[in-house]
Amino acid sequence: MKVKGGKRGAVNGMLPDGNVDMSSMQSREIWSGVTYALAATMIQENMTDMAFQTAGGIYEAAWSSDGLG
Amino acid sequence: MHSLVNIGERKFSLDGFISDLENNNNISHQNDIAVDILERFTSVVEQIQTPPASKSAYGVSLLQEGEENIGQFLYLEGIEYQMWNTYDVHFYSSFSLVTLFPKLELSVQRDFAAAVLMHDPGKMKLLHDGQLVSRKVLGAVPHDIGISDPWSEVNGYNLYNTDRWKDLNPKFVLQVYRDVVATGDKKFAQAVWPSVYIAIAYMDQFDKDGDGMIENEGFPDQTYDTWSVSGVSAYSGGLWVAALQAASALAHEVGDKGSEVYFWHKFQKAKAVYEKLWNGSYFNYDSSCGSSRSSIQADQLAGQWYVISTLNFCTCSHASSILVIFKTKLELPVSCFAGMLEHVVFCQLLEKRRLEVHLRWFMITTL
Repeated sequence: MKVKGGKRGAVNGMLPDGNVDMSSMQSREIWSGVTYALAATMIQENMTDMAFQTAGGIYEAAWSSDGLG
Repeated sequence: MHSLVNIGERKFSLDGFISDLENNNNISHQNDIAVDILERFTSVVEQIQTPPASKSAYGVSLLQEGEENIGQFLYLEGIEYQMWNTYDVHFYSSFSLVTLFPKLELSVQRDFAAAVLMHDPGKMKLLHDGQLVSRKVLGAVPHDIGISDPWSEVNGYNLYNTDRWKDLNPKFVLQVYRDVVATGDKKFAQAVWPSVYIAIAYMDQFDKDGDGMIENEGFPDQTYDTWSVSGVSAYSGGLWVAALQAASALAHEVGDKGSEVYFWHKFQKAKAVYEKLWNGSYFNYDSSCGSSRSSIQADQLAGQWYVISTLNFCTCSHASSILVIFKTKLELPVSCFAGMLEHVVFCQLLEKRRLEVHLRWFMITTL
């Protein structure tokens, strides 16, 4: 399943040690608009592959038949 | 100003700005928006003595001569969040609207420009602490255009007092400038410029130390409304820096030379403060002393994203003069965003298997 494959978009808040910032409900969430904005920023910085991996993640998580939506 | 205090609990709006500045060549302050605003204050004080008119966030009043009224547009934030045109969400989704239906986007923006000029002292109770606050004060961009009585009763959201949020006003300025560049609509630019000016001026109260940079106030005073933030912050601060740049560029577009210089100066000051958040790999979440500062926020480059996206519209639009001005002035806060992005994504990948998604907000779907 795509979800277990790990492509879900960008977590709102991460810690430098690689853990999710669990200090608030929304720091540990993933938001689609924010993920698309981050992916767009990556394209602007010529990080195209990473951009589509990130955007593809939230698309799969939210809207694919195997997703969470 | 003194008599404004005496109007007490009256609802008013600073509408009716002189729309065609170019026809006022005999006036020495023809492009001085500050003088224009003060004149409007005086006029409002006079009007307020007469029976109250219904004041609303009706952007139709900002249409210029010869412009078609195509009507107004409402869309809900989502199934769970039934507010019209939630503006911090619109910030992310409006790229679709301005690209596919630019006139609808400008219509939405006129409504918010009108809302900035509204002052509604009617009390509403906040969910988080039960405090009574004014529904919407002059200069604040509302969180949404309302729920049950859209345009007339704005701010359906009542968890916190969004008049004290730090992201809504910068988001308004950034979106307006993006829309001006994307559509090349100079009449729109002229019509909403007073609202943009006031939206920037309103933020001065949040720069308590006067260094040009706004500070967050230790509660969730931005779109992440369960995530507190204190002092200078990567998200709100970055939006502020970008908004000042956009305000200066818009001032140039409408011919307000004084504001163009002033906002550019403010931009330089704010940018210098913002850069202190940079730790070599990413922008710290905020300038607080607590552990929260080290959080790596995925959205820390939102302001940067808007500036570059606006530039990208330039390359295919008719607004070539904007391109020249904006491009020569563009200075990125730091030069190593790619490194930061890798860091964010690297952490994200490390964590991918343990993550639990508690809630997802689909900012695009409602379109």
